[in-house]
Amino acid sequence: MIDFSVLQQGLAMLASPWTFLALSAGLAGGILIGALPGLTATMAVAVLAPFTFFMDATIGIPFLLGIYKGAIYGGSIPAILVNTPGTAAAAATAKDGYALTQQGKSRKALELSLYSSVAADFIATLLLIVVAIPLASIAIRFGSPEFALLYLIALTMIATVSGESFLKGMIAAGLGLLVACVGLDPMTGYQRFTFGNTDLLAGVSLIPLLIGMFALSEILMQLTQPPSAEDRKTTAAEHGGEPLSWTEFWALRPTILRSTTLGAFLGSLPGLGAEISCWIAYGVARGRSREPEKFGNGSLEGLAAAESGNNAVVPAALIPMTIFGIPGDTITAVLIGALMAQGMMPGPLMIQQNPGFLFGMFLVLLVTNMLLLGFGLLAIRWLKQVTRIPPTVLYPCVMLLCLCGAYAVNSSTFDLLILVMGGGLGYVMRRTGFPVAPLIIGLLLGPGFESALRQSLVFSNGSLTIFWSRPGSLILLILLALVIVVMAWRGLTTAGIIKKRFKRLTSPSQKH
Amino acid sequence: MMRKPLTSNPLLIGKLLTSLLALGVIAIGVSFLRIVHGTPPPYGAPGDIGSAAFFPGLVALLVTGLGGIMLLVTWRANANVVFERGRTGLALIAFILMVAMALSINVLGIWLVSMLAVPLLAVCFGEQRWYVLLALAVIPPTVVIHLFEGVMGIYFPRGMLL
Repeated sequence: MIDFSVLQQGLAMLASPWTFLALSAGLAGGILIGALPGLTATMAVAVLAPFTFFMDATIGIPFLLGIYKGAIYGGSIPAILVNTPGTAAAAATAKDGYALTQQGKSRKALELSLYSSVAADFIATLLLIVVAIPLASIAIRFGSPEFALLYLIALTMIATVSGESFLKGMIAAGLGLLVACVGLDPMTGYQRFTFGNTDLLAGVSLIPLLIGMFALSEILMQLTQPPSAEDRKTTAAEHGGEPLSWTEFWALRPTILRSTTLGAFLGSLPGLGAEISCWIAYGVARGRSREPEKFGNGSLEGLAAAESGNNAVVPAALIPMTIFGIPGDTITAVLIGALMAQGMMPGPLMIQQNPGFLFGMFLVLLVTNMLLLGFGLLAIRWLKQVTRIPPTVLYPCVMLLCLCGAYAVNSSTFDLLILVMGGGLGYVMRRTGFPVAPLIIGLLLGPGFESALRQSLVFSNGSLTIFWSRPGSLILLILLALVIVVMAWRGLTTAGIIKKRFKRLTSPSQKH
Repeated sequence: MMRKPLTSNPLLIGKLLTSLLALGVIAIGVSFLRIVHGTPPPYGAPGDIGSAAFFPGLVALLVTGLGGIMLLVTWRANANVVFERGRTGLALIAFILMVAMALSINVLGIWLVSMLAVPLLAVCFGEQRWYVLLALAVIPPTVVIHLFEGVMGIYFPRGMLL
């Protein structure tokens, strides 16, 4: 039955001029940051998250959602104009987008990128709304064993898909869980690993650590591996050429729909972000295309696939976050941190306690699409100059924002140490091929996973049968086993073990 | 015959660095295990589900084991652990600058720290024009600090000098 008070709350949130202003500011800022090469969407959300702590949740969260959506789209502008993706999610966009620019069709490329992004985002948001409500009613019935298994599935998936090495992913997730143990024990209240430091009683401050790991480490990475001289020489092409015609856009609808579905599915799985989905959507579109030879040489299909593939991830990544409290990617991990700072815990509790806010958030996502269309058209015309800001000016300013943002969380200089340590750790991890996402998500899920696991074992007097004696937990256990089998298959294939055997088995038939 | 320097073999450097990292992971795991097992019950009873040591004990054991596997895997013949080169020294200098910034903010205050750190990081990035450095020392700190203090009501340490 429809609860009208929930609808009213959601509509009231949307109708507030402050929400609208925050959303617009976030969107404009997100496009601007996304268009700056080297500044990632995660970094943008992490650095600007402290600003929302002083706003009401109905203003602060739309602001962050605007940044998220704006930054993912904004990354495509420098990718098309100067062959430098503003964000990693726009890497596939650069292939055909820049080729179109070189052919004097930059206007067509930019318009197609915008329309594909808006269409994909809109469809994926509708999907989020349709899927979230029935899934939420299931999530409310979950008990501790189901949640323990769900967290384990999420951690296994994130550890295996977010990096090149399963082992490094598992170690990173384990380290995240260990860091999450610092502070008071969630069940007994004992102090753990605080070494008598009162600043650590509430655990390691999440936001300063996130800012350090994503923003400071990026600054250090940019210092270590600066863009090549060739990249710097590339100048922005003049904005021009013919506009995109309706016939051209309409002909691309199967590609956009297919890439959106793919992006939405991949985005809803924990650990797979826009950086991966854009390439998968691009690859599938190439495989299904009648003109695959055009891909990489200015194919409109390729550009539409890459853009709809990465933008569909944004609403889809909110599915595991809102329903189960599990971040879909690193950006939603930061969003969870911001929601927690607002006193809200995403997951079934939020659905029960703040349904109006959740409904308002869904409406905000839909409105963001319409605003993105307007802001995008403005950005296409005026944002070219932004890509020319030199790193010598940009990164010192980002560092200052990181410093002030991290301090603002608790007005504590101890948080600055966490910020710097996070930056150092993030840098070492990135240089040595350790994925950062499993550590962050391990840190976020740690307290919930520990509580769910210990509660389950306490209920069953230490017996593990609780994990398969309930129908819900049995289904999740089977799912976990499937995830492990698929991931092991992937690992063995990557290592070349399965391929060799498979080749040996299939070699006689290939001769025919 | 001239001996090849160690830095000319990226695979060996990669293996050595990865081993060092694996040892670091093992060290972290062992330190957590030591604390968990070294603390008297009721906290330090990793075998007891109700104890606060149960979960960290389990995870620390897992991390230590994975660190050990990583150490072994690194020295396999076909292990791909090539370390990508880069300007690590410059990044280290910038990191030291960041640590100094975090440690000295209580003493020097936000104004002095930001007016020194921002242009110094720009120098690390290769900026040499004095007027750009001067502008960086004045404009970003003024804008950002006033934004936080004036709009958000966050007051930063003033230090001993101001």
